[in-house]
Amino acid sequence: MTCGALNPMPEAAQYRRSPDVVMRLARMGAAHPTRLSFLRQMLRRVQQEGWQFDRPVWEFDARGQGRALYRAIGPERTYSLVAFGHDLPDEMRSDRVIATAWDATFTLFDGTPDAEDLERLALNVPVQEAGRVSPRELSLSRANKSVRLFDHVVARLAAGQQPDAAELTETGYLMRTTAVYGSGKFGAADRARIAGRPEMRAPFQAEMLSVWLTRAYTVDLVEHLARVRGGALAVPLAPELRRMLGVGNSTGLGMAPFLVRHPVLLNNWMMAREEALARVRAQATATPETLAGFEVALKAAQVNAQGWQSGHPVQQARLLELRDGLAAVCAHLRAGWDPHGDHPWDALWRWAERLLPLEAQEALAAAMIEPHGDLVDGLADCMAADEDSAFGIDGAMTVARARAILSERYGWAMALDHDTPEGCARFWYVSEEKLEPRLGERAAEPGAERELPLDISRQAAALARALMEWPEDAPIAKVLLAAPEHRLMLRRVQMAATRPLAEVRDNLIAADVLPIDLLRCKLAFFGATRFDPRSDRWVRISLFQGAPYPQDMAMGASL
Amino acid sequence: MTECAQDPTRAGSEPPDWAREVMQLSLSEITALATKAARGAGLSWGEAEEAGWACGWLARAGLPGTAMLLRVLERRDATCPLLKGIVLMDHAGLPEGPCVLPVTLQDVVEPLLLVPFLARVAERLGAPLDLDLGSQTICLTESEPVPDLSAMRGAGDRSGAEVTISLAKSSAAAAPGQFDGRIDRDVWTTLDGLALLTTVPASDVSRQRAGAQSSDND
Repeated sequence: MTCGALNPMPEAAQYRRSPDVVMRLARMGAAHPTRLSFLRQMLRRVQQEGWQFDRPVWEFDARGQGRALYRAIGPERTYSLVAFGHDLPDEMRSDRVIATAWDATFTLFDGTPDAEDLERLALNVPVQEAGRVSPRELSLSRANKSVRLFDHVVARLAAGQQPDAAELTETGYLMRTTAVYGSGKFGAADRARIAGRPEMRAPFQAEMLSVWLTRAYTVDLVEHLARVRGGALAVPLAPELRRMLGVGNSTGLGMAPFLVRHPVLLNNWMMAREEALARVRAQATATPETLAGFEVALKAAQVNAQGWQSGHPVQQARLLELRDGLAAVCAHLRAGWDPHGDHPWDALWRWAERLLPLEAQEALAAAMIEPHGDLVDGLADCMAADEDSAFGIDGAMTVARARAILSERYGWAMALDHDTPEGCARFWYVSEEKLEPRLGERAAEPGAERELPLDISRQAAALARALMEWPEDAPIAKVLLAAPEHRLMLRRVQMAATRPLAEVRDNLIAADVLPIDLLRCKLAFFGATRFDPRSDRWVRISLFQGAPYPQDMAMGASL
Repeated sequence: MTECAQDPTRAGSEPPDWAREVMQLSLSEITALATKAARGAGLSWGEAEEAGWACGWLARAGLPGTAMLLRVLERRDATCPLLKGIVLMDHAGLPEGPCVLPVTLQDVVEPLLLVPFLARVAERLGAPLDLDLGSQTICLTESEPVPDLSAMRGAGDRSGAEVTISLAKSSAAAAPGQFDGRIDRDVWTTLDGLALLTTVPASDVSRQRAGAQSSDND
């Protein structure tokens, strides 16, 4: 990780938070989006480069069945969202991966598809996992309606009225995606095929573009259905109401292992965000512009916290803490914080760390970073990862060196107890039925012998014990020859040597592990808001809520 | 969703419609399928990751690594080029041990499976290597960029060959490889069967616990 080298600011180093603070699951589960989040990166690029948008195909019947094509035309390349609308009976609507039909299905096509491409995609995209796409496609996704809000909006628009703003706020989206597959899945283009393009270099840019264009589709569809129903009486959705709508997303355990399986990526994402916060804290003074921008961001965080609903008791308690915490920040700004003192951002942060709950601390971090685009936006370039180059094991490394890395990076794991029933209560596995990751109860469910290697802390402790048996100057190659079961962990240890934020510093098989914490951290890096857990392993979120639409970009919309 | 060089938690997706006897997989599908199949066949997770990486590397070189892997997994024994390749790679540059060049290995089946690992050895040593297969010699300089080895399709004795690895006398820069994701239906089916050995059959409990606790019709 060379973020510091990319844009040297050595004085920020002393303001970085410790990995032992940053990488705890509870704090990762309180993550908020920042201006480095992937959808923000995508929107900034599209605006700065003056991308053009059109909709050359719109063929829908009165029930909303049909197809549409949305094009995003960049300076060098064009990407097209191909959308298929379906008439789905309520009893078939499920957000689970076990579903076989959806209200809408999508793919992001690399270029502009011709009639033959569209026919091929019409056979494969609507059946999702049961179909097959090609290297011309960059993503495969589907979405279900929020039935109540969707019907309400269509009915109102058809009658020549605008929908109820409170209802829009409460749900926040017309449709939610239930899976967005990319990177070689089901025959789609591999990451390597597009990673060299500037607009695709940052993580998940194809997926973000796909979801953003999906948002435009959801509004076009309600307006189409309203015109069908209301004829000349129908009106389009008012721009200020339209902007309040995002795209929902419903995510389960399938996403949970990602951050554990991709330690280099996790490190780079975390490093970029932490370096951003450190750079802000390292500022000796606060300019009038950043102070004004911070107030705007803080106000937006409060509005977001007020509109953010959850039916889950854990999140309900956190929302109260968030609202109270942000109110406390505002009170502190009025009476307490001296914005003209020495290192004012650092002073504010130290106050917050002492007094605020995690939710409010992380929201404050995002608000502090927000007005400092000039200082931090370059860090976005550090968030991609060449995982292949970190893959090879250095067999010549000595046992002494491996022990030293373990001690420096995995000391937290040595302190955990994995032998008690609580310490190894869970096991991660892939279900034969859907080839999806799940989390089982070791004592009550079969299958622990087929456990996935996500028990990182337990493996680290086992490796440390195994290394005790070896002389300090022995090469790791000899250890691996005798004990190949430690190979996976040794690879991680070598990766972690130069990547302090590569590991979640908690026991991922403990009885009290909350998978939604892993989901939230990843989704916050996407740019998600309104986290609404539906259980301890299932969460709904909103993407692009409050963001401009493609057609707003030409008018210089604020991001 | 992305950046899945190694992805032990996902099996290769099931190609639904074998209209043809040969299927085109993506690089990440090849990597995932090979990783899970190797694990299903009994290798450790870390070794299985190497198998996945090696099959992906071979596909980028234009070679059917998955077919070679399958033949090796089906007769896993002392001749396994996968484990030999891993050992040679791990010991590259060490003053003693199995990778002091030149090395001659007897009775190696599917010797082309050694190639990705030897490319890593060459990279680590900073010196090009020759892999002498008897009938042909492959010169390896480093693991990236992957060379075009498509002309080697079918080369190497599948029943066991003598191979010699030595420092190269001269290094000729090979053309970069072209990715070839073709896989035969029977190879895919058998590897997928092995991959499924890493999965757990569903139970009512697991189905119920995986989802939300309320209806999705809202």
